[in-house]
Amino acid sequence: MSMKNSNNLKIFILEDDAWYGSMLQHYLSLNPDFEVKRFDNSKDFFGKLYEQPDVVTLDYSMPDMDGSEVLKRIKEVHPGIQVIIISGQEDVSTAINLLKNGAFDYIVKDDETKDRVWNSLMHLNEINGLRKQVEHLKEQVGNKYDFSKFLIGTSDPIEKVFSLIDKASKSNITVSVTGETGTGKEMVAKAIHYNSERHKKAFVAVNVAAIPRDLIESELFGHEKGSFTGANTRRIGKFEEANNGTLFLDEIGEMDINLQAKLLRVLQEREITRVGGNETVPINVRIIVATHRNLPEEVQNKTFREDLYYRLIGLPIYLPPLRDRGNDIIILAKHFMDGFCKENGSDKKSISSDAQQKLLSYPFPGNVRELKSVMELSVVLSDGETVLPEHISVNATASLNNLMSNEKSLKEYETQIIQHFLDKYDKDVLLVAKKLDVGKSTLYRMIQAGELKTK
Amino acid sequence: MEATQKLYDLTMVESISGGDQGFIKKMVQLFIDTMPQNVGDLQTALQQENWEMVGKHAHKMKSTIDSMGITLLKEDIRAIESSGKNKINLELVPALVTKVAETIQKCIAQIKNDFGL
Repeated sequence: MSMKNSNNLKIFILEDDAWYGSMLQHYLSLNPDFEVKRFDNSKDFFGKLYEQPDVVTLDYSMPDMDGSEVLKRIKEVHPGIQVIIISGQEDVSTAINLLKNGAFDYIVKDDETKDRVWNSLMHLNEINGLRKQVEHLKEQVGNKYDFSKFLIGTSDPIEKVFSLIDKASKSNITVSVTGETGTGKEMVAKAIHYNSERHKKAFVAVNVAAIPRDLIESELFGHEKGSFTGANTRRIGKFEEANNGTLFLDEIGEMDINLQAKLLRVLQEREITRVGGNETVPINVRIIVATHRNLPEEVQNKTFREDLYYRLIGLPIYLPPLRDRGNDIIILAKHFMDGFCKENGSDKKSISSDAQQKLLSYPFPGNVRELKSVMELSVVLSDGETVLPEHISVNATASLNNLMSNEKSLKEYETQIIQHFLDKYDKDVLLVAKKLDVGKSTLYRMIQAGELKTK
Repeated sequence: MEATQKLYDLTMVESISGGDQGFIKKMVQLFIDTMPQNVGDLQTALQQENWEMVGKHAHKMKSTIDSMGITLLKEDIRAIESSGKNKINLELVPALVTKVAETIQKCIAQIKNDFGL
């Protein structure tokens, strides 16, 4: 049943007869799941086609463009849009041709037209529902594949995360995932969902920070038709969409304090009320939240409700930053390189030990997401079979910022600092010697000894 | 007797109004606003003996005439459409167009009276 509710149909009526068009628009708008717009000429209609309606009801005898031509142009631009032809002519050969050319239905204008259009739209809605279900299943399969690609590593911190994911998957406990940006918080949420008993139901992700403040309530809880300007149709929210599945609320720390109270109530009562509605809808949703913020600190600052914090904290999973995952950096780097080579039909490449060292000394503020980009670029930049340090394009300053993260000897620090400056100034030995106030012969000696790289 | 005969029947409009009186008023107003123009277009096409356009204008008016329950014109508007489209029985068309124009005019007068417009 919820599937049907989620299938709002956006309908464009193209009808030059203002009277008949208004009648049809009103009739179809009686269905709260139908969002209907009417156009009385082809020019205006094509000007708005980018809005991609699900279906167009088309008067075959438009004065400014033949119905066959309109159908052809719609199908050329957006083949997925379904077209129902409404014609005053009972001409079988025309009807057959239109259906052959992709029309979904052909309805003759008579006393029963409106009912036939209605039935045709209901049929279409059902087909749309099935199609969305197939897309959802495909997405599930795809997601399973994806998270196994990204959640890899053998370091102690990530092994601890795997263990917690396993525990979370076996229960319905609320999970809070924290970690820097790019560490894979959504991947963890998906891993939990697709390994849990809810895996056949929807996984719905909402980035709280990405939705304008005045729309977030309707986005989460849905709205009734006419509840506010622009609410042309009833729309179910993310909670209903995720019913019996998992709702992932990313960047929960960005939620407006007023909405936090409503969220708390929903979590306590396990029911929602759509904006502008009176009916309560029971929900059974597993909640996973994520944030890069320090929520206890936000609670102290009174920007996050304490009662909501305790309700959401559930099983906390901390995703370590990539720089704390040691050799995982190299495992992931190879993994991303292999994947990129495969996607682009090229042979696998290896990473030189110097390039590995460069990766290990870089702090990766963008974490796994950044590593992926860096490695894909390195494959593009390297001509041979091996990725060298110069193919690793990272921010040299950031690399130096991580200087103290690994304990080294003074001599090693000295070498690293000089190498950083050589990289920064295009291997200009004289300039670097001047900048660091060291003798140029010292630098040449180190280069000769292989301690510094100038290629 | 003829003057008091009700020329239109809003059963169909009422059935889809969902009880919305505003919608019914809007539709009768739209009928009053658009039909004279449609009749005018039909008469012009007839004067120009542009039979294809005669057929097209009759076709356009057909669904509104049906939906407004103007049963008196149900067959006539179809006859005009067919004549124009197939270029047959053209000698009958002028009289039929006159009947359509007069009936629509009377119909509008009745609606204005009934709705106090």
